[in-house]
Formats: sequence, structure tokens, C-alpha cells
Amino acid sequence: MSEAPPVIDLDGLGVRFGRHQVLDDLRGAFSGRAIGLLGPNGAGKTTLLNTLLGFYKPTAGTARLFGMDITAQGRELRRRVGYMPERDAFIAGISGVRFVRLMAEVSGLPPEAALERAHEVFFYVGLGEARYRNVETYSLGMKQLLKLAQAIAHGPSLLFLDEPTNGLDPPARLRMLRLIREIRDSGKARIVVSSHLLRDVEECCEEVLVLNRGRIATYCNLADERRANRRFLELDLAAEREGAGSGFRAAIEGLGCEVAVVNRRRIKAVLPPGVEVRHIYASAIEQDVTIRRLDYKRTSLEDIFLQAMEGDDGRL
Amino acid sequence: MAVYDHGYKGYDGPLMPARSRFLVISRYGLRDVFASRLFLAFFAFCFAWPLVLLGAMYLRYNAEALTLINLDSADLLEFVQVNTWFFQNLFLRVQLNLAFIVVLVVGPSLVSADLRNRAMPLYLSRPLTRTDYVLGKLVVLGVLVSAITWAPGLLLFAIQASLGGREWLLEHWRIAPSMVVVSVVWLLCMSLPMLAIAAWVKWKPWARIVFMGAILTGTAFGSFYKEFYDSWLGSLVVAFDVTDALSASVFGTQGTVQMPEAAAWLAAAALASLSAALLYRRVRAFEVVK
Repeated sequence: MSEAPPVIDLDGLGVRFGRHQVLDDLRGAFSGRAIGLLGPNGAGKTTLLNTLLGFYKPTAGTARLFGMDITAQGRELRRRVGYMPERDAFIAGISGVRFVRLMAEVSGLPPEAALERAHEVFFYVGLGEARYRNVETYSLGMKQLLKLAQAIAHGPSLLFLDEPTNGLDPPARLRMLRLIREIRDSGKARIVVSSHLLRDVEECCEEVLVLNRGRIATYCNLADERRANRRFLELDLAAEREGAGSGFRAAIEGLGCEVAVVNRRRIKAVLPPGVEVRHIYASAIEQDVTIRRLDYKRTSLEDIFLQAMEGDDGRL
Repeated sequence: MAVYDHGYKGYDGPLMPARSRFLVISRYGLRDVFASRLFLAFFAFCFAWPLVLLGAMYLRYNAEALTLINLDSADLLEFVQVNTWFFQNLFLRVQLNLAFIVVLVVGPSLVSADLRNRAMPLYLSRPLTRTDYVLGKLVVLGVLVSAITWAPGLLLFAIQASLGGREWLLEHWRIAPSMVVVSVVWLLCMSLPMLAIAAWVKWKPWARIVFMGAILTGTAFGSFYKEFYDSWLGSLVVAFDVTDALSASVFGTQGTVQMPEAAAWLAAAALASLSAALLYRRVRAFEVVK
């Protein structure tokens, strides 16, 4: 059985506006259910999304979505894509449900199916009661949900969300993130989230691509990272008797752990495959040592992001 | 994803053909236009003059009806000569003036609502090209203008042909295609500039003012140039002169404007091309600042 092509395959992709190189030699293949695009303002996140959508023509290289070339098969690709832009985008003077129905019809749905889907997505995003209101009267949070509704109305297999939580208050933000996670977990659509909010990306993405000045600063698989973090431990000890600490250290080294002593009461350890935290506790009991605190190492997305920004040119 | 089932579901039902996708935009555009009762009333009024002409044509061939309304048939025969002049000036010229109002009222509302609120990325992120979008909007104006120009014109022509007989038809056959050609050329020369201006100005009242301003300025400048230099070149920027010259060229009649046919065609082509280029420049997902 042939392997499914990656969701996004960047092949030396470059975009230049006049003299300004906005994206430069982007390479990589990404297959996660939810891919995060991170980067400071002006890093090229939105330009990358717009290029993948066919709004801008690549000046170098190309990119493929689901194995289809964005330039040669743009029209076919856009049939499978849903897009939620960063800024307000709607048609004035029509009701919400009519707006979403129009967008679904433009995506190819027959009028009856489009109307049915429009009603369904309005209830799905939680705007069911407001669907007959003129879209101009919607609040900022409602407009964000409206943009999501029009993006999913035609049931796309790839969803581009550009700063989906922009301008939302905390409850609305949580609601938006919950919807994104639900769509991700349904397995019906892959999601690309562009954001400068690390927390949002961390909460709903599995893979993260950090861009800086139009280049890929780093790529990180958050699931792998979280799994790896579970092997790094930091322990605070309280020894009941003299020498118990060094005995405990020797015992867990005997289990195959790499150990570093921070001070007399604090050590760091890396668990080898097959060794679990319960083995550490067992050794502590044997050596008559009390573990006052045991923490997994927490490499947050913020650490990864800051590291990527530093690594790019040595300064933030 | 039924309304009672709040889980996300994809769509795997049938899809409409991609080639006719632009008609979705036209359909929605037409529905929006006719949602206004005022416009609907005006549009109905646009059929009044063709009905008057139809009545005149009927009376001309119905002596009994003439006696009922105490009219002498000789007077009417003298007054209503159903010929090229009748269709070109008495019918089409009047209807094109009404069509001008239709374009002025409807044109800006077609694109400015989309551009003002940045809806273009939403359209163009779907399987729809910029050409589809423009075509969809042009079809709205095309349907409206056609409905009050060449379509009733052809109906009048057909009725007159049936009343006037084979001889009349053979003598005046050119009228039918001429009405269609003049209407379509006029539609492109008026609709494209109107849409282009609306796309740049984005605010409906301003778009109408700018469009009227452009026509009036062109007319004033052209008339001044013609008077001052005694040259037809001024007519190149007078929309009504160009329309007259084109109409005369297509109907094969003597125009009221002293202007070479080729110049009129070139001016019309240049206006439509320039407008299309300006419109295309604006109808895009995002503005690229180089």
C-alpha cells in the first residue's frame, strides 16, 4: 500500500515582493493532524498561507498539498481547502446564514446542500441563534466564529486558520480552541494554524514550524517533544541518614539512568527505555530517601521558540 | 452535522460543475438587486416604453382599433414609421438611457460590498478565479441590461416582422443583430468602467459620483475640444458621441456625430480594456505592497 503524501510539502519555496524576499527556500514535509505556524510579526506566516492558497505565486521552488502542486493544481486544491483569514472578512448587508450558504455554493455545494450545511455549521460553532442576523451587527467574537463557519461549511479536508483567536475574550478564545481541537480530533480535516500566540498553538497543534524572517527557524514535533520530556526528571531529596543521597544516586545509576547532581538535595536524571518513575520510587524506599518533589522537565513551546529565535541570528 | 448533532462532519455529497460556478455569484447578485422594491418598481417602469411602442405598432396595423379611439390611420402611419430609425432611436436609444441608470444604481453595489469588507480572500480561496468573479458580476448587469434593451427589442422586431410581412423582414433584417451588438458593446463599455470605479472607490455613493463625474468631465472636455479646434478628436472622450457613432456603424445609418467608425470602435475597445485591467488589478485576495 502506498504511503499517503504529506499534508504540506515545501520544496525550496520562495516568495519575493519586489526587492523584498518574504519567504526564502522553505523545505520540509509535514503530516500532522494540526500544524502550527509560529513566528514573530513579519516572519512570513501569513504569506506562506497565502502562497499555499494560491494568492501569491512562488518566485522559487514550489509546494504541494496532499501531493498536489499549488500552482498547477490550484483550483482542484482550493476545492479541498477552507480558509479563515486573519482580518474581518464578510459581505455586508446579508444574513449570516446566507453568507455561509453563498460561500458553500461557491465551493461547489448544490444550493439545497449548501443551505443545510450553513445551518449546521452555525449551530456547530455556537451561532445558531444569530444566523438570521445581518453579519454587520455581529460582535468581534461572533465574526471570528462566522469566519470559521464559512471555512468549514463545505467540509474541507485542509483548514487554514490565520490567527483564529485574534481579538477574542478568554471564554471566546477557549471556545475557539475547543472547536479547533474537535475538528482536529474528528480526523475529517487537517488543520494549519498560524499564530503568534504560543499558548494557542501549543494547545491545539501536534507539529510546529517556527518561521523567522522568511526562513524556517526550527521544526518541532510537540508530541515527540512531550514524550521525550517524560524521560527527564528533576528530584528534590530529603535524606534520612548520612550518605543516603549518594547511595540513592548510585542506585538509580544502577538502573541505567544518567544522573547529574545539582546540589546535595537536588538531582537531575534521564530515564533509559524500560525504566519508569515507579522504579525510582522503589530505589528511594530501598535507600531510605524521601523524594520531596519529582518533576518532569518542561520544555515549553516558549523555550523552543526562544531558542529558535536566538539560533537564527544570535539575538532576539 | 445535523443541527441536533454538534460534532464536526465533513461533506462528501455531490458538487456542482466548476465551469458554471460563476453563476452562483450572478444568482446571488440578482436576488440582492431585486430585494429592493424601489429598484423593482424602476425596472418594471423600464418596460413601459417598449409597451407604448408595441401599442403603436399594433394600432398601425389594426384599423378597427384606430377607429375606436378616433384616430386617423393615415396620421398614425405617418407618425409611426417602423423602420431602422424606429428601432435605433425611438426604441434602443431610450432603453440604453434607462440601462445607464440601471448600471449606475446596481454596478457599485455588486463589488463594493465585497471589497469594503475584504471578502475577496474568501471567494478566491475557493475554486473560483478572478475571471469567474468578474464574469459573475458582469452577468448580473448583462441580464438586467439585456432584459430592457435587446431582449424586448427582439420581441418588438419579431412582432413587427409578423405584422409587416416577409417584405419588411427582408428589408430590415439587419435591425435584429444590430440591436444585440450595440447593446452588448454598450454593456461592456459602461459596466466595466462602473465596476472598475466601484472596485477602487469601494463606497457606493462615491463610486456613482466618480462615474458620473468621469462622464461629465469627458463630455465637457470633448465638447470644448471639438468647438475650439473644430476636430472630431474631442468625441473620443464623449461617451454619448462614441455610442452614437458605434450605433450608426452597426445599424448602417448616418450618425449625428462626425467621427470615423474605426475611431469609435477603438475608443470603445480602449475604454473596456482599460477598465477591465483596472478591475483586475483590484479584484485580488490581497494587495501586494512591493
